[in-house]
Parts: sequence; structure tokens; C-alpha cells
Amino acid sequence: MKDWEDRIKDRLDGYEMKLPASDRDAFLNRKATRERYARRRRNILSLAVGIPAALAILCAIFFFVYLLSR
Amino acid sequence: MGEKGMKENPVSDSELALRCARKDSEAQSELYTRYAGRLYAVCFRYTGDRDDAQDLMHDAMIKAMESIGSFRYNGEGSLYAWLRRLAVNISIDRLRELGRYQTVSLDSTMEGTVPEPQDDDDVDAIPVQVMLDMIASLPDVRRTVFNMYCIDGFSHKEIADAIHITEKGSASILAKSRAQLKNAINEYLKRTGR
Repeated sequence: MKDWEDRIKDRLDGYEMKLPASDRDAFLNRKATRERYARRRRNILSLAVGIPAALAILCAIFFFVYLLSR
Repeated sequence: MGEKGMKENPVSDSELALRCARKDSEAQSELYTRYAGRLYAVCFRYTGDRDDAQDLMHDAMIKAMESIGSFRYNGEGSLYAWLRRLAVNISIDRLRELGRYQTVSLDSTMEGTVPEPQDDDDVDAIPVQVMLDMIASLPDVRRTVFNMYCIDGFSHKEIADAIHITEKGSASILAKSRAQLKNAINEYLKRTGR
């Protein structure tokens, strides 16, 4: 025979609580904000890596040209 | 996120997970429709507060949609089990960040024995939402330990690791939460004349 805890467990398992009326909209807003933020962060990260990398390549080219012209 | 297509053709959990992993917005909407209410209840069991539970459920859903590629389907119920674990972990992390487990050492009241609820059928007669509210009214640490051990099947070792207490401490807090809950059940049964 199941004790009271098992009975509570059985009844709570998979129990669905009624969501607040506007929950779907709140969720979608939050998800959109999170995605926008993540996209912005990815852009900043690519700029932070891309600009120094481009500068390094330019410097290397200039240095190579300088060496050749001597 | 349109709902129409999937309402007409319900998909299995494995198909749903695959489509969510491909960032299909219709599938993501269906995931929300299918599981948001259940995850809300899980988060409420841990936080004891509806607003906090709503926030955490949203976080769990977003995390699930981002990381569902790592989910492996193991038969019926495995998607819900995976989502529930995610929601539990997020709830525990949030409560820990908020410092709501810092009262563990002060948790020394409610000693002594409390009689078991008289009749198991009486326990079954308590509405689930009332039961959830009883669990929600437990102090943070007791609520978490009771939920983790009795409902979600964690061991004392896992509980100890998750909320930074000892295994003995976890067992002792569990005994206190059981006693407090039994008290609440007995009081409710008395009040409703069962």
C-alpha cells in the first residue's frame, strides 16, 4: 500500500497549473528580448575579434611590403 | 509562433524535439502549449510564489528551446522528464543565487512526532492545488529538500551537492519538512471535517 508521500507524488507528477492569462505574450516578449540581446552580443564579439584580426593582417602586409622594398 | 498547424496534426514528442532543434517556431509554440503549465507547477513547487514561478518557467522554456539539440529521446515521457529536470535545476540555482538557502543552520524548529494522516483516501481527497499550496508554504530549504527527495527522486547526496549542505543535514531537514507537511494535512482534514 502506498503511503501518503507516494500518493502526493503521484498526484503532483505532471500536474498542470493554470497559467496567467497573458503568459504567452509575456513569454514571447522575453524570448524576443533574449534573442535580440544574444544577437547583439554575437555582433559585438565578431567585431571585437574581426577588427583586431583585420588590423593584424594589414600590419603584416605593410611589414612584408616594407621588407621587400628595402 | 503559430499554433494552428500542430493543433490539426499533433506530433510526437520526438518529432517535436527535432523540429524545435531546427528552430521551427511552430514547434516551439507547441512545446510551450504542451509543457508550460506543467513546468509552471514544478517551478511553483520550488519557489512557493506564482510570479517567481512564472519567471523561472520562462527561463526554463527559453533554455530548453536553446539546448534541445542535446536532448536524446528515450521513449514516452522522456521529453517531459528532461524539461522538468531543467526547470528544477534553474529553480534551485535561482534560489541559491538569492541566498534563500542560508537559513539552513537555523532550521531547528518542529521537532517531535506528528501522527501520519489517518486515512490515505483522505489524502487523495485533498485538491492538488491545495496540496501544492501546502508545499509552497514550507520554508525555502524544507520545501526544496522535500521536493527534491520525495517528488523528484533525488538522493540525499545530490541534494547536499545542489544546495551546499551535508547529507545528514538533508535527511534531518527532510524529517522536519515531512512533519510540517503532515501537520498541515491533518489540520486541513480537521478543518474540512474529514
